[in-house]
Amino acid sequence: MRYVIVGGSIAGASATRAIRTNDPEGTIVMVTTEKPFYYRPLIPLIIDDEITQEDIFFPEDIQKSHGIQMINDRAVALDTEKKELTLESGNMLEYDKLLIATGSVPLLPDVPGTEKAFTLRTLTDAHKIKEAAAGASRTVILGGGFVGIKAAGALLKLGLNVTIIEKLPQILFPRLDQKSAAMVQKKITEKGVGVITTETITEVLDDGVSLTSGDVIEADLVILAIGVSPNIGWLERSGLKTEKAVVVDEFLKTSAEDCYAAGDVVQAMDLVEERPAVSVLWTNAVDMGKAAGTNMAGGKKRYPGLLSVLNATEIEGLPMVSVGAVADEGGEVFIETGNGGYRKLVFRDDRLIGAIFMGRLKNSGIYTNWIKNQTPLGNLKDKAIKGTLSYVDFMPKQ
Amino acid sequence: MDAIYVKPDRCMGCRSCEISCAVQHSEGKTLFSALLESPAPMKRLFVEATESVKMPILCRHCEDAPCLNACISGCLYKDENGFVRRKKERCIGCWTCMMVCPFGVVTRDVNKHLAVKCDRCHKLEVPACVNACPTKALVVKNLDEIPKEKRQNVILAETG
Ligand SMILES: Cc1cc2nc3c(=O)[nH]c(=O)nc-3n(C[C@H](O)[C@H](O)[C@H](O)COP(=O)(O)OP(=O)(O)OC[C@H]3O[C@@H](n4cnc5c(N)ncnc54)[C@H](O)[C@@H]3O)c2cc1C
Ligand code: SF4
Repeated sequence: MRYVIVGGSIAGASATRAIRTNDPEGTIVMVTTEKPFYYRPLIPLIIDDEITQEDIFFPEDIQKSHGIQMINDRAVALDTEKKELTLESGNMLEYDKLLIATGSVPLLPDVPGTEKAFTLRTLTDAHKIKEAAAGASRTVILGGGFVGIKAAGALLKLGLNVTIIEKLPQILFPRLDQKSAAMVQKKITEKGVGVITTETITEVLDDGVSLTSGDVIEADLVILAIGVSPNIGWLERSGLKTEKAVVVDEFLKTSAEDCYAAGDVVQAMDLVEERPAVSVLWTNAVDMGKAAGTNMAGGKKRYPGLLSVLNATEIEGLPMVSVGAVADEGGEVFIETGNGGYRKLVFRDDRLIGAIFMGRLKNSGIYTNWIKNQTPLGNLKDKAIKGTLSYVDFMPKQ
Repeated sequence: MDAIYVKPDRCMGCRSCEISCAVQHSEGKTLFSALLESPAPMKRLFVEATESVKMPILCRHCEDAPCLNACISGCLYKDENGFVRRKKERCIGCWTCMMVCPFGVVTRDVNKHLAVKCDRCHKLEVPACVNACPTKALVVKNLDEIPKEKRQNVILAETG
């Protein structure tokens, strides 16, 4: 069996592990444009030298331990009839089973001058920003999502003057609700980051950005962090079914035989929103890669779906976990504040569909599991609200 | 694989296991010195109770561990005995493991900015909690020796 994986990041790695578990013999070929197997979420830490170049790569050499033939090239076309890939070099690559794991690429605003700005998606991007920051004193970051805020934190540590511009009235939508986002905004502004909400740019200039209000903010480093879009351009003529991203079934199989997809490049069912969503999260990519790899190697592993919001992080001393439908104000909502923390639970009927924990995170995983499984809460709803839910509550009665 | 087996019907809720866990993970490793340490040493298991049951909740060292799968920094790994352990220096304190552990047994060391979890006392013959339990509500058992129905009932090694 000849497996070909396009994209050497976490979805590809996770699939490789699953393939090897199920098929120790098959040939695994991986085509990728980057140096493979690093922890993408850690790249902001490269900017201010919080971690070393070495610590960003996987500790295990999975290329060696899993016997992967690595090809440093770009897939530019796919023929699912002939089961063949065309690479940028002109080489062709045949497969028995294919995994598309090309992830996502930064979304750019539709304004002039974006070529003068930076994005933060790859390790190379992080190095470029680091270099540019060395000679800079002011930076503007477009987009108040986690990536923008992480970049802001790193650049602030390097001593730059940082301004974040966010189109919506709140930062971190839809990963946090208004109140918790305001708490994060307070933390970062206290540290010295300027945050302008309900505003966007009309042009990237040589020495800054112009805003819709007509104002100009001077900057010698502009970072665009307004989100990502699935990397599906190269599949345009393949005939594969795509909508927002590559369409897959419950087994991560695409519309073509023997062709699977996983990670940021696919859309899958959101477990609480009950509609197809693009994940853009590491954790989801791990699970999808595992299911896809298992199925490619002849197993049968259903992928139940993803959570579009499944975030944990710490920003300026404020730890947080946010899961499920947390931002929309529909549903029955319970909120608790105090001690600089915040806890929100969102219920739909007898089910928990969203949770935010800020400050105190203990047992948050129990809630995550409930949101994932969508099990009715029954008489445990009260305990969930009181925050006294523990694993004992799920023990079968003796 | 050896696992710590919990017998809820024997647990009195005395928290001896919690104390010995914290002591084992202290600098001085004695109760006396641990009490004086600041910040206080952290326990890795938690005695929890409902109206009908008391029992310690501890890391199951899951075969397909959600924490390890989700870790975004390569800090968690499986050691040669199948225990889910931590490469401390790799932890960036992102709390992704806390977000996904279905048992709620990963916690946060606020001072060191590190995720904290059971390391199965890998340097000891018998884990500190097991050693400390006066009623033998905690015992080390080979999982394969326990009938499957019972295993699922009590040990819940599978996490979905
Ligand atoms: C700064 C930052 C912080 C993040 N923080 C978090 C976090 O805290 N938690 C979280 O869950 N997620 C986080 N994410 C998101 C997470 O990194 C992604 O969801 C994850 O990397 C997706 O994995 P993937 O394998 O699907 O795709 P990607 O990681 O995007 O990898 C795709 C790979 O395919 C290669 N490729 C693309 N096109 C081709 C082609 N045509 N031919 C060959 N190779 C190709 C690319 O070079 C790339 O290496 C963060 C992302 C960033 C940028
Ligand atoms: S998910 Fe929780 S119980 Fe399972 S190995 Fe990790 S810390 Fe232990």
